[in-house]
Amino acid sequence: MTLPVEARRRARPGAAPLWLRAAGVVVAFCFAFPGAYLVWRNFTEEADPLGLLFSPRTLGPLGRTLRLAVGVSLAASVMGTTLAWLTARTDLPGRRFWRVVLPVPLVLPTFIGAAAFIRTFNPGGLASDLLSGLGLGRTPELRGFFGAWLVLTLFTYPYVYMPVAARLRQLPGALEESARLLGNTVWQAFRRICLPQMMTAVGAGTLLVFLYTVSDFGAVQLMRYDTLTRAIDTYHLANPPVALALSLLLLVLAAGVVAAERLFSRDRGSTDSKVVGHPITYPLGRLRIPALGFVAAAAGFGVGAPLAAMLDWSVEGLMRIARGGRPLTIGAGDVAAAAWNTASTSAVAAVVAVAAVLPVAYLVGRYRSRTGTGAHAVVISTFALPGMLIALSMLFWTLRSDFFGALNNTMALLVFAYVVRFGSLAMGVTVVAVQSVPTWLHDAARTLKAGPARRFATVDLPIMGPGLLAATGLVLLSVMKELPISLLISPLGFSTLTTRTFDSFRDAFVAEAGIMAAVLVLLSLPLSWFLVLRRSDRL
Amino acid sequence: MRLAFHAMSGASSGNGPVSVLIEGLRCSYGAGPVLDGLGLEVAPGESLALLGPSGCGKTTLLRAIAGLERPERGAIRLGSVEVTGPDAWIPPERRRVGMVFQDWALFPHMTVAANVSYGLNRNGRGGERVAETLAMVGLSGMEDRMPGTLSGGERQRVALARALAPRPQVLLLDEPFSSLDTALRVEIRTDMHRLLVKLGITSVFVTHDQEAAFVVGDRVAVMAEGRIVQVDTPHGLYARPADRWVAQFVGEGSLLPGRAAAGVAATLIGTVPVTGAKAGPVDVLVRPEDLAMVPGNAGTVELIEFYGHDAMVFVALNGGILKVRTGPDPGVGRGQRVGIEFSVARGRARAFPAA
Repeated sequence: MTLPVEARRRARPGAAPLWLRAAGVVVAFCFAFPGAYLVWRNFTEEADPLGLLFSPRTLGPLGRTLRLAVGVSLAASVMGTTLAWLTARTDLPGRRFWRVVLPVPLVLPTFIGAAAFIRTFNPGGLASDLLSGLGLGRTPELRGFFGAWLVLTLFTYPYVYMPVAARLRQLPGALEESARLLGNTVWQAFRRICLPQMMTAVGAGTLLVFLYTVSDFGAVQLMRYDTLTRAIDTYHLANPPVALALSLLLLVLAAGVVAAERLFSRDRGSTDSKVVGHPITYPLGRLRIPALGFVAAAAGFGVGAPLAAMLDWSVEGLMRIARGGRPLTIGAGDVAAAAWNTASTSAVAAVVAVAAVLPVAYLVGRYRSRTGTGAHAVVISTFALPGMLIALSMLFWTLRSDFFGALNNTMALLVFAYVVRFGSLAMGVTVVAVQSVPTWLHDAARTLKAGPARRFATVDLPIMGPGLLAATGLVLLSVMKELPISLLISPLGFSTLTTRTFDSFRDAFVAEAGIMAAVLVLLSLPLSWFLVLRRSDRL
Repeated sequence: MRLAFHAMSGASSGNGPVSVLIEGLRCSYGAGPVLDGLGLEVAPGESLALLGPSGCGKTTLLRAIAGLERPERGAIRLGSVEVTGPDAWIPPERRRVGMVFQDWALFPHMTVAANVSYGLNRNGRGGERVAETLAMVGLSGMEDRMPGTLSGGERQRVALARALAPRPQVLLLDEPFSSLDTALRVEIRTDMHRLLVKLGITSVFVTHDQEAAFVVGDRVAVMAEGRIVQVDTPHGLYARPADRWVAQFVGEGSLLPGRAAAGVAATLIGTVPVTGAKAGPVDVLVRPEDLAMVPGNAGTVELIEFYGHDAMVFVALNGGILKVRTGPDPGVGRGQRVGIEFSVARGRARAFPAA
């Protein structure tokens, strides 16, 4: 007797309501708009878009961007992988401490790092003073490719370090032990067992570093290295067609990287997650001291130096006032206003972003709707869109359109840009949150007379709560340290901690920059701790 | 309290137990129909067990009664109210149908009391109904516990209390005992049986465990491939299965090939009085308790399983195995040659035309 195919126990939730699908379409449109607008403007604005695309004015920055991105990716992947190996698999002294400290650069804005290095190594800086005190004379100025490369490497290695460390900690020691028992040496076991298992994590992390580098604006601007983002900033008012052509190149580059990342992470070499066992710890032996030196240097340059520089500048500024020297250009009121602006806009943007991706999360997480899959793909793809491009798109759009011109210089436009920039960060967590509500709880609530609104309020929201909060936090943290969008499309007279820090430093008001940056770090650190750093040990 | 409650309720049609009438129900998921023209009637106050192999559509049927599935065709009436039909649709939240889900589906973020009061209308939530229902299932004093801290049996009781608190017209239970371990299962089963009898509520429960179906069900509906194959009392089902599939699915037994003529069938174990088939080749259903071992050497004792109150002897006979139920002491040993005969005291065996 043939029985029907194993019946699906899991209830099918049926088709998504029309309004939800409509909301999904609207959200997808909003997320797709900035990128699409740039492409459209490129091909409608300029008579010869292809000619401009391949002119020296665009190819120069493209070449520099590629050079920097390749350089940073290589260095960060080697550095991240080495650090991961040392902290996860060896008897390195103070492993637990390093595991907490090493991911920290992830939550610091790169321009603060760049500023720290410039001021520390250039004449008058802490390091320069120290070195000349040792009779070494002038230190080389940190500018251009080398400066940008150094800062971005020190600030992006956690993108490799974190996934690789997680992978290494998951790898059951039994795998390596079996390899050893089957006749491999330590090195052979590493090469044939660990390395292949790590490679997907290394590859995916490296592509993230690449994407981050091509999108970065703060570090290259301060280091005066003319990449695509910096060139766009230079041309966006003086020569819009060139800025548009540059933005198209950047868009294609970023999209290519993300496409590659997707391919890479498709078949993550999968160890059975149920295999438990302690990873093997290798004794470092004589390499103990050099290894410790390397890890300490990474943490020192990536975390210690920027924090020390910030502290140095602000303390120096405050002492200068105490000595009756040149007064600061900012008062406590300015700091408070900037802090409030940062906190409030990022909070609003974070809540709006999560609310915006929630319908899409419902469509894919609960209804598995085709509309939802499409909208989800659109939202996720905006992950590749550099902030500079969103800023440029929003600026050109509101400048061009009479009707939408009213949006120019408004908080609404700023929040919209933030939401599009970082909504994709909230997407994944939100889908997981939606899926964490079992459908049978809904069924149970329905048989207990609860209508849709009551079900949402009493079943969905409380269960999704922690997930939605984490999603909000991720967006909040990212908006707090965002630079290009905040610089380009903030309403007139509206400044955040990042724009104040950046402007002060550019205008050589170092003490002011230090104070603003210190406040920013103090504000974001607790959140970073809860969302990123606290978990990095288990990630 | 009670009056206010009934005034609020949607599909209410009075206070006594109601009947459930299902006609021509058809439900499908993608490939083929899961329920295919299914009809069923549950009498007021009756406890009906839906028994079937996994994948036969019994859970879908239960969900359709609750309104959690919307069938393509067919009608469901609760009492005099059509809740599903060509022109009728009452959503689950207004059906007054209580349901106990397979894994209880307790709201993990709410206390026991909040779970149980969830289905009560707003002004009933703080009232005595919660304590009353919890007392009914034997969980008095557990109001403030969280579901995560309860044992499996306690969770089952909370789920039952939650379903019963709003005084549903019909109670549906999806595999109510399958998530419990064996020792607990028997105890909980008896408690629930007692409660259902005491409340006199119309109930339908899904199970793949025939023992549960037999013990708790006033009647048992056997389902296969989206249809009801047979509905009968547990005894009727066991004694008079409608076809050979039901015969093999329900209860233990063997189908012995034979040839029927004039009310008896000639089989390997001699002539057996039969009913249910015309003259010609037949398969005769023999239950282990219909058989007895006699001195002889027709077969060999292959295995003996001792259950305490009785025992089962597996006899290898002519290439097949016949199971014979004996008293606690089977009186034979492994490898012993025995004869088997049909106990005439059992009456007539059921015969089906040979396949």
